[in-house]
Amino acid sequence: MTQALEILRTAGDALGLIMFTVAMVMVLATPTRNDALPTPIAKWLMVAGTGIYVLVTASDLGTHFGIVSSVELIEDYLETLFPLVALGVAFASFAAQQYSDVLRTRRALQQSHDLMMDIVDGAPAGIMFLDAGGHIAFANDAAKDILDLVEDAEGSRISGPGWTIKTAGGAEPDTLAPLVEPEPYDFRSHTIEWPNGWVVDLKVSGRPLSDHTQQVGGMVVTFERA
Amino acid sequence: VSVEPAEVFRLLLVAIVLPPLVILSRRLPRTRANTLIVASFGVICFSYVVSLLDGGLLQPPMDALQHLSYGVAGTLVAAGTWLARKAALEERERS
Repeated sequence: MTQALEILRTAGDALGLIMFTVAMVMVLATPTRNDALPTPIAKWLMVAGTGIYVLVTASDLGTHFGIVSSVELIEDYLETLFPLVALGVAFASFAAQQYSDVLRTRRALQQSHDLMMDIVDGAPAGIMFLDAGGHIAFANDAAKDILDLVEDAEGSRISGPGWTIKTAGGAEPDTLAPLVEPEPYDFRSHTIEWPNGWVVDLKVSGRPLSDHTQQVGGMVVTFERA
Repeated sequence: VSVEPAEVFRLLLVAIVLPPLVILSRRLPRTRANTLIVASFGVICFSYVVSLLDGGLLQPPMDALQHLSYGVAGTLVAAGTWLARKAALEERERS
C-alpha cells in the first residue's frame, strides 16, 4: 500500500515536471501584444509561475531519488511566491483586457465618425453647425459651394464673402445669427444677397443644440436652393 | 499532525489573494484556455490544503495526493497555455 502511494507520489511529481515544463515552453513561444492577451508582463509572470513548479517538482523528484539540491531548502518559499504571481497574472490580463476594450471602442467610434462625415460631405444639401453667435463651426462641401464659404489656413475659421441674410425681421449683414433659434424649424425661406448684388433663395431647416445648462449652444442647419 | 509554518503562511496568503483573483478572473473572457489555467490554480490551492494534513496516519495518502495535484495542475496549465498560444497565433494571422 505504502509502496503504491509512493509510486503515485513520484508519478505526480514526474507528470508535474513534464507538464509544467511544457507549459513554460508554450508560454515562452507565445507571441505577445500590448493591446491584447498575453501582454509581455502577463507572459513573464506566467513563465515565473510555471517555473516555480518546474523547480518544486524537480526538487521533489530529486529528493525521491536521493539527490538533495539547494532548491530543496527554498522550495517552500518558492511555493509561497506562487499565489502572488498568480494574482499578478490575473491583474496584468485584466488590465490588458480593459486596454483592449478601450482601443476597440475608440476604433468603432472613429469608424462611425468617418461614416457620418462621408454621409454629411456627400449630401447634396448644405449642412452647417453654427455656434450660439451664428459663427460657422462646420460646413459640408455643399454648404461651402452654395454660400461661397472659405476656410482659413488652419481650417479653424470658416467665413462667407460678406453676404447679407434677409429674414422676416429685416436684413442682417455678414452673420448667420438669425438662423440660431431656441426652437426647431423646417423649410423656412431666407434670401442671401452677395456684395455684388447676386441673390440666392434658400429653404432652411434648423435644430438647436442644447448644452448641459439647457441653453442653446448652437444650431444644426440644413438648406438647399429654393 | 505536524504543520510547517510556511504551509500555514502559504494558505493564509491564498486566502488573501483569492477574492481579488476570483473577481479579476471572472472579468476575463471565458475562453477554454483561461478556464483551464484558473482550474490549474484551483488544483494548486487544493494541494496547499492537502499539505497541511499530511501528518500521522494520513501522511502517505495525503502526501501522494499533494504530489498528484502537481501532475493534474501541470496538465491543466499545459493544455491551457497550448490553447492560449494557438489563439494568439490565430489572432496574429488575422490582424
